[in-house]
Amino acid sequence: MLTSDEIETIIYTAIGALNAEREPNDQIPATPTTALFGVDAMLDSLSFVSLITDVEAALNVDHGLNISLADDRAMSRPESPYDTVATLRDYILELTEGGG
Amino acid sequence: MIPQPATTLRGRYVNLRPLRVADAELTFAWRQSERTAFLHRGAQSVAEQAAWIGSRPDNERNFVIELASGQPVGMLSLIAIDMANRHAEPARFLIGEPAAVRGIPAAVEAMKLLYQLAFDELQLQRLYGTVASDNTLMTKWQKYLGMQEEGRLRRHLFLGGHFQDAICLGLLEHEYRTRSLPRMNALIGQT
Repeated sequence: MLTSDEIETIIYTAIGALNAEREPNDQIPATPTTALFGVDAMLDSLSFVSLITDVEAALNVDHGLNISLADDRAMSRPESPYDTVATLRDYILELTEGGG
Repeated sequence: MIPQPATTLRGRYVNLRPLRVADAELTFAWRQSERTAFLHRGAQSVAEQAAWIGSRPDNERNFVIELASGQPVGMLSLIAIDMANRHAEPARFLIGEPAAVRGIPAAVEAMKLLYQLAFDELQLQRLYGTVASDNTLMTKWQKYLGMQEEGRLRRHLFLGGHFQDAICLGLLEHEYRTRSLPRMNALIGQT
């Protein structure tokens, strides 16, 4: 079972991969409150999907979890799981606790 | 014969409005930005851009991506539409006004509208295209939204001052319905 901290680390690693290709003055902060998708987010659509892809890959390859972060379950939630690092972390935690 | 209703494709956040010659100045300005580094060389003047728009062949559908407010924010095309073999190529994808689409899933919904045109209206079997190998974000994006990597044309493109591979991507009709649509809907629905 992944812990909240471990999931956060996976997300931060994905943010780090994005930052490696961004200018020094355009770095995405790795904090729980960092906005991922929405009006306050620094990520455009391409960067956001890249982050989701990297997080899914890490969950699958490194932890054997076949989890999709963009499916009907994400749509059916009253609050978007994509708002911030914290909401995405909590959504992944919920999925992993529920068996993916 | 390719049906040419030339109508606007309407979504929740964005619409795809047929490209017009009157869009030449705006689209030419977009083509001058750094964001077009991975597109092929375009027109060199507004007049050339207008001539290019005016000469689009029947086997293309060229669109301006507009917000619901009517503000144009980008462009997207379906080209090389082949009704005999039932395939076509999404192309010329450009968000020209990134600040205007911040927080709006404009890119995903624009592509969804184009896929709906291809698979639902034109009843194509396959979409395909190439992405420059340096364009890693676009490659990831296309794959996440359902495209499969089908091959690689080595040193096929000269972009950014050096040769790059062209990554060949393809999407079949059933992959669109089972893989692309659920992901697109999730990304569009959750903002």
